[in-house]
Amino acid sequence: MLAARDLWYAARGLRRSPGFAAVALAALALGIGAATAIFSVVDAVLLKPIPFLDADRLVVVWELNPAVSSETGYAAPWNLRAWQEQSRTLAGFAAIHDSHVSLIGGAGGEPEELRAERISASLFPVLGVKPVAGRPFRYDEDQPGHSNFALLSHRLWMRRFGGSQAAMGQTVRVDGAPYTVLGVMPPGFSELDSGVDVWLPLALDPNDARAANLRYLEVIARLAPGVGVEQARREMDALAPRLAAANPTLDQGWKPALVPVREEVAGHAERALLTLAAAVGFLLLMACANVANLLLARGAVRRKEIAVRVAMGAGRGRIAAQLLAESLLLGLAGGAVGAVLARFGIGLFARFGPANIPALARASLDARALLFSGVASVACGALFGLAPAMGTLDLNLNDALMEGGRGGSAGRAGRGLRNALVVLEVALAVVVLVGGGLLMRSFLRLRATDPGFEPRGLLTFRLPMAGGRNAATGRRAAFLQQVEENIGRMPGVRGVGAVNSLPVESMGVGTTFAIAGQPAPPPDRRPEALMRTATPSYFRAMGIPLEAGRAFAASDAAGAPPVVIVNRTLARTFWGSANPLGGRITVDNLGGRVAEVVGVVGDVKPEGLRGSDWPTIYNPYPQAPAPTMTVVVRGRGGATPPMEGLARAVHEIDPNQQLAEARPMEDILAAVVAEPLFDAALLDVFAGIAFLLAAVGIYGVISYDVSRRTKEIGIRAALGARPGTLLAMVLAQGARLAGCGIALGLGAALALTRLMAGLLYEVAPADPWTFAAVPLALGAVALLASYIPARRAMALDPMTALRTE
Amino acid sequence: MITLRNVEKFYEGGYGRTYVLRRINLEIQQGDFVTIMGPSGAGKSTLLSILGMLDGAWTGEFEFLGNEVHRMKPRERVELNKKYIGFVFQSYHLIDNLTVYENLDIPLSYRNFKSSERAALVCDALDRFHIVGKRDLFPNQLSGGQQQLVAVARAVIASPKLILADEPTGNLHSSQGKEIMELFKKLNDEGVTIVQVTHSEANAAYGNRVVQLADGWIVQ
Repeated sequence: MLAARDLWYAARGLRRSPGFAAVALAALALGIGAATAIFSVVDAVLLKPIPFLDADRLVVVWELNPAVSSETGYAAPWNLRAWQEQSRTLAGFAAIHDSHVSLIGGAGGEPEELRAERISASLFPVLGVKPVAGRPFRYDEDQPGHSNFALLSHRLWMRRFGGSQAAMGQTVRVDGAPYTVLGVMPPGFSELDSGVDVWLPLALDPNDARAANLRYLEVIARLAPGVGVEQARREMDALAPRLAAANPTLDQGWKPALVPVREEVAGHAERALLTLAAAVGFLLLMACANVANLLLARGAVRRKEIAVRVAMGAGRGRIAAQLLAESLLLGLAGGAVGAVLARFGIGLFARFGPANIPALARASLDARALLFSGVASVACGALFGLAPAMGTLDLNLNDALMEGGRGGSAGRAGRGLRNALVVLEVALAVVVLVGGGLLMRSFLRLRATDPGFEPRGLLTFRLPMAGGRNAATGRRAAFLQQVEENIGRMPGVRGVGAVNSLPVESMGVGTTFAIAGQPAPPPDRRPEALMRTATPSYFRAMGIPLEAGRAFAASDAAGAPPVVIVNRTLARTFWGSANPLGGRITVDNLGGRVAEVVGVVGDVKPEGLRGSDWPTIYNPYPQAPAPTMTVVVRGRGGATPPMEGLARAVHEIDPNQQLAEARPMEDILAAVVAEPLFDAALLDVFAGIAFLLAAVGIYGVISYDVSRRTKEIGIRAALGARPGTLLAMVLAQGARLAGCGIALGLGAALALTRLMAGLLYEVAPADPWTFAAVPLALGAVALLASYIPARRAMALDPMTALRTE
Repeated sequence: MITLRNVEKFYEGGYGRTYVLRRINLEIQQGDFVTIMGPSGAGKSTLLSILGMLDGAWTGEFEFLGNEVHRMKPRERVELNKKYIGFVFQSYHLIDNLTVYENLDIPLSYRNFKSSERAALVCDALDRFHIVGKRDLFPNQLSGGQQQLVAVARAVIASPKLILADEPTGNLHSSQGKEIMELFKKLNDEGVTIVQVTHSEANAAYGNRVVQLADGWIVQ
C-alpha cells in the first residue's frame, strides 16, 4: 500500500532533482492537457446527451434520389403527410422550415432581421422540450389563417424584452404582420441548426397542391416504442414505391433517408474529432514513454538506493510501491498542470473553433473532464511507473551493493527497454506528424481552391424586403435597382450587384429542368440545377467571368420574354461543344416557365470549397423577385467599402429598410474553411509537441548513454580514436534509434492515415511529399538531439574520463 | 546461530559453471565476532550476502536461528532479514535524499513500528551515537566517518541479533576506522553477533575468529 510517507519522500526526491522533475512534468502536462482538452470537446460534441427526451430515439427524415445525387435533401409536405398516415415504426413527426424574418417588438422598436424557423406544433412534443416561460403552440394555432403566434429564443427575450414575463401575450410584428408572443424557449435551445431566434407555426395548407409537392422541409420523427432505426428504415423504404405510384411526378426515384439526430448534429465533426482524439492518445503515450525513459535512467542510478532499502528490510512490493508513489505523484502533478493547460485550450476552441460545430461552445473543464484528467493522470503514473517498478523485481542486490561508489547500471535489459521506448516514441511522432502534415497540405489545397469569383475587396449584406414598404413584388425590382445605383455612385465603390444566395454559403434553392429540343428524361431522371436570381451587374461585381453571350440587362423586365444565364457546368453537360446561347430551358420551380439562355458564366462553388461544381441557372431579378437579396459591393483597390456609407445609401431611399449580416466576403470564405483549419491547426500543434517529445526522448537516451559510457569513451580516446570517430559513434546510435522508429512509424502511418481519407481534400492519404518530409525532418532532429551529447563525448579528456572509475 | 552445509554459488556461462563459493561449511554461534578474510574475488562479499538473505540463488543448506533458510520462500527470508539482521557497507550506502534522521527511520519503517516508537528509537540512536546535531543534515553534508557512524546506527537501530559488515572501514582513515571498530566491539560485548569482511589484520583482531576464503573455498 502507498503510504503518505512514500508520497512525501517522492515529493522530496522530485524537489531534489528539479531538472528531471521539470522535463517529466512538462511532458506529462502537455500530454494530459491536450488529452483533457480534446476529451472535453469530444464529450460535448459526441458523448454528452443531446438535450431532448430520449434523443437516441429521434431521427431526421431526409429524401434521396440515388439516380440523380448521393446527397440527401429536404422532404416534401405531401410525403410527410403520407408517412404520418402510413408509418407504424415512427410514432411522431414534426417539420421545420428555415427562414429569415424581420421583427419589430420589445425594446428599441427598430426592425431586426432574425433567423427563424417555421415549425409544426408537434415539434416540441416530439423533442420532449418545453418553453421556460409561457407555452408552446397548440395544434389549432398551427393552421393556415390562424398561425400568427411566436416563440422567442431566450437570448432574444433577454435582449429585446429584458427577460420580462410581460412579453407573453405581447404583439410583435413579423414581416409586417402582427404575431402574439406565446413563450420563450430554454437558453441555448436549438434542434438541427443553431442561431435561431424566433419560432413560428408552419401552418401547412393541405389544399395547396403546389407547395405540397416542393421539397423544403426538415423532418424529425420519433421511433415507435421497441422499434430500432434499421427497422424504421426498412419500413420507410418499403413505403417509397407506394408513394411513387400515388404521386409519380413527385416521388418517382425518391426514397426517404433516416439519420439519427446525433449523427445529423455531430456526424460531420465525428471523424475529425476521433482523429484528434487518436492523435492526443498517441501524444499521451509518447509522454508516458518519455517519462518512463527518464525514470528508467534515474532508476539505474537509484539501483543502489533500492538495494540498500531491501537490505534494510523493505519487501519488493514496498519498493515497487515507493517507485509507483513517485510516478503517481508525477502523474498527478502533470495532470494538475495539464488541467490548467486544458482550460486554456478549451477557451481557445470556444473562441477560434468552427461555428458549424455548435456543441463546441458547450465544451468546458467540467466534472467529467476533470475526472478524465484525474484518471489519465493516475493511469499515466501507473503506466510509466510500471517499467522502473518491474525493474526492481529482478534487481541483483549483491551486484548493486558491491559496486562501491560507481553508481550502477541498468544492464542490457534496461538499456534495451529504454531504446525500445524511444523507438516507440519516434514511431508515434511519425504517425502524428504525418497526420498533421496531411491535414495542413489538405487545408492549403482547399484554401487555394478557386471559388470562381474574386473575394478580395467584396463586402456583402442582406436586404430583407418582406414585410416592409418594399415587400410588394412589383416594388422590389425598382427598389433594388435604386439601391444599386445609389451605392454605385459612392466614391470607392467599383461595382455593386445582388443575388438571392451567395456562393460558398449554401446550396440554396434548386429546381429540376429540361432542355427544349432534347429527349425528355423520365420524371425520376429529370436533371437538377441550383437556381439563383441575380441583378444585371452581379456577375461583374463578383468577378464571375461572362464566358459567352450577355449579362442580364434592364430590358429583362418582369413582363419581358423569360431569359436565363447558365453556368459552364450546365452548358457543357447539356450542350457539350454546341452553342447553348438561344437554347431554351424549362424551369420546373418557376411553374414550368420556358426561358431562353442568353449567357454563360463561370462556375462558383455553391457550398464550401470542396466538391464538384453544380449546374446552375440564374434568373434576372425582375422575373424571379426573391424577398431577400444579398447585395455585394466591390471596393476600389482591394479595400472593402465602409458599411456606414452603404447603409446611408440604402436609407436615403428608404429610411426603414433593414440591412443585415454585413460581412466581407473574405470572412465568409474564412468561415467556410474554419473547420478544416481548426482540425489542421490542432493536429499541427499536436505534431509540434510530438516533435519536441521525440527529440527530448532521443536526447535523453543518448545523453544518458554517453554519461554511462564515459570510461569506454575515455579508453577509446586514449587508444587513439579521433574526435570525429567518437562523434560518428554516438550519432550512429541516435540515427539507429530514429531509423527504427521512423520505419515503424511510416508503416503505422500508411495503415492509419487511410482512415483520415474523408478529411482530406485533393491530398492522398499516402501523399509522397508528406511521407518524405516527415522522416527527413525527424531524422534531422534526431541527429541534432544526438549531436549535443556527441559533442560532449568528443570533448572528454581521456585521463579525466578514466579517473571517473 | 548460523549453520552452512555444502553451500555453493555459481554462474552458468558458455563454458560451464563458474563457481564463486564451493562447499562452504560454517558454524557461527550467537555472540561470535567472525572476520571473513581473503583476496579479492575470493567470495567474501557473496558469502556475506547469502548470510544476509540478500542473495537467494545458491545451493546447499543454511540454518539461521533454527530456521531452514534453504527451504524458505524469498518473502520469508525477507522477514528473517527484517527481524534479526543489520547491515553495514564499505560505501555506507546512506540514502542521499534522506536526512540523517530519516535514514535512521528507514529500517523501522519497514518493520511496522508505531510512529511514536520509531521517533523514540531514532532519538535514542542519535543520542547514543552522538549525532543529535546532525539529525537534519543530508549524507553529502557529512564526512566519511560521520556517514559510517550513521550507517552503523542504522544497522543497530532495530536491535538486530546479527550485524553483517562489508569492509566497514574501507573508506575511512585510521582514526575513524578505529572508532567504528570500537563500536562494533562494544555491540558484540552487548551480545550482538558480528560477521565482518575485511582485508585489515587490525580490524580482524577485534573479532574472536577468522575465516579465510580463497577462490570460493574456505581454506582456514
